[in-house]
Amino acid sequence: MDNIVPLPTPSCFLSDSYIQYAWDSTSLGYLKTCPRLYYYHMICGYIAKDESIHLRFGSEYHSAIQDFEIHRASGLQFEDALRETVRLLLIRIKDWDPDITTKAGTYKNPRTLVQLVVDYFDNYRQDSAKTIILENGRPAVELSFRFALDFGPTGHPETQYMLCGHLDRVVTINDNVFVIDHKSTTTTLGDYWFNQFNPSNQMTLYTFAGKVVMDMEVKGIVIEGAQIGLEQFTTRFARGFTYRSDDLIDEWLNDLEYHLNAAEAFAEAGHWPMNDMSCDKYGGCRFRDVCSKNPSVREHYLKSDFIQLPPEEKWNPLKSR
Amino acid sequence: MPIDEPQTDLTALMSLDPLDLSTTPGTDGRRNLDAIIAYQRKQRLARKGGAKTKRATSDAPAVDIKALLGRIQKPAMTNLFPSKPNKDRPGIKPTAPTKGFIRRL
Repeated sequence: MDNIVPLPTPSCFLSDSYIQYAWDSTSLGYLKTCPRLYYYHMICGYIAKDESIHLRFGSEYHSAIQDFEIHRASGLQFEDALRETVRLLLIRIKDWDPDITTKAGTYKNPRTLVQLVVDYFDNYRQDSAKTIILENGRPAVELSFRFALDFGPTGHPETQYMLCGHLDRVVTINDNVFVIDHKSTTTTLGDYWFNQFNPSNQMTLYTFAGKVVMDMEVKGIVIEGAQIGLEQFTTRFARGFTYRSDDLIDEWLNDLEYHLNAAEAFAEAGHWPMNDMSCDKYGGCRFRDVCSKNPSVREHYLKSDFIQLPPEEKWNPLKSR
Repeated sequence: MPIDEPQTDLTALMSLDPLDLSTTPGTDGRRNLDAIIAYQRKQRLARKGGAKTKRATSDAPAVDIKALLGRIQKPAMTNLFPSKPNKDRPGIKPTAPTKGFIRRL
């Protein structure tokens, strides 16, 4: 068949409601940080104007690492795999033309992306972390997962909540299994930066998901930080480990039920309250200026300072990469 | 001392009128790919050596990757808790994935 049209991604919300049944770490993180933040992103589909640059840069970085691992697993030598990875990357970003007069575009653009990718592979050329090869012969990279929990929205007992996401890479280090998660940052890769991942919604979920997906004893997550220098484009790489016991995971799952009950209540009420203790976190919420305005004029500021994505482009945990 | 980014590399690449980027040995496309990778490595070494490189600005792109890319052809509140969570259950055990769970490779 020549004209295969992919099926549209199903909504992560129950039909005719704002009750979300499929959750990933991003949407759950928004909810936990601030229900209003969740509302602006997940319900309304607002993103900051430069957010698309960060998303594209991160997405292409992940894809390049995935490509490289697949080529290495197929038997290509390092330089050959790198050459093919760069070629595929250049093809994908051929039409990517971020505004390099913006702050984000200054250090996240096609040129810096290629630099980061080459630097990354050179840095980890001799690596103690070995990618697990799955039974089908493919490397364990970009593993998408979906699984159901044993509870659902209280008003919809026929539905089970789902947890979804993508594991960047699963590796063994000294015979222990870890999930690697790639992060790029402009912050110095020290204890201060790595400490943010314990406790961490995403890392606990990914440890749990790793156990389910791999059916192995996953010790935790390796955060693979890529530090990007702003003033002149420099790169630095460092790894941090964060571990999760089964008791910690069970506690997280227990708390999850409360959070999702709250999300259901917000959706049924049609009101997502502001958590004004989160506004200054992580360098300041992108919606901070909006929330500081009178409610009657917020819509105006949202329209002028943000992009509202069409429904099919809104963040959706069920969307395939 | 800030180093000028090697415009000669770009000039050379531009003047080659290369074929599409390719990994096929012996082709201009492969040489161009290798040149791009070598350029990144050279820049890294220069930075480690303390030399300053130019920021990406609208008026001074060093290696014009976009130009190179142009030669690529794509291959052929009401009730906060509607019900009280069950604190007494033994622990949430996720059901094993049946067919909904995807390994996308």
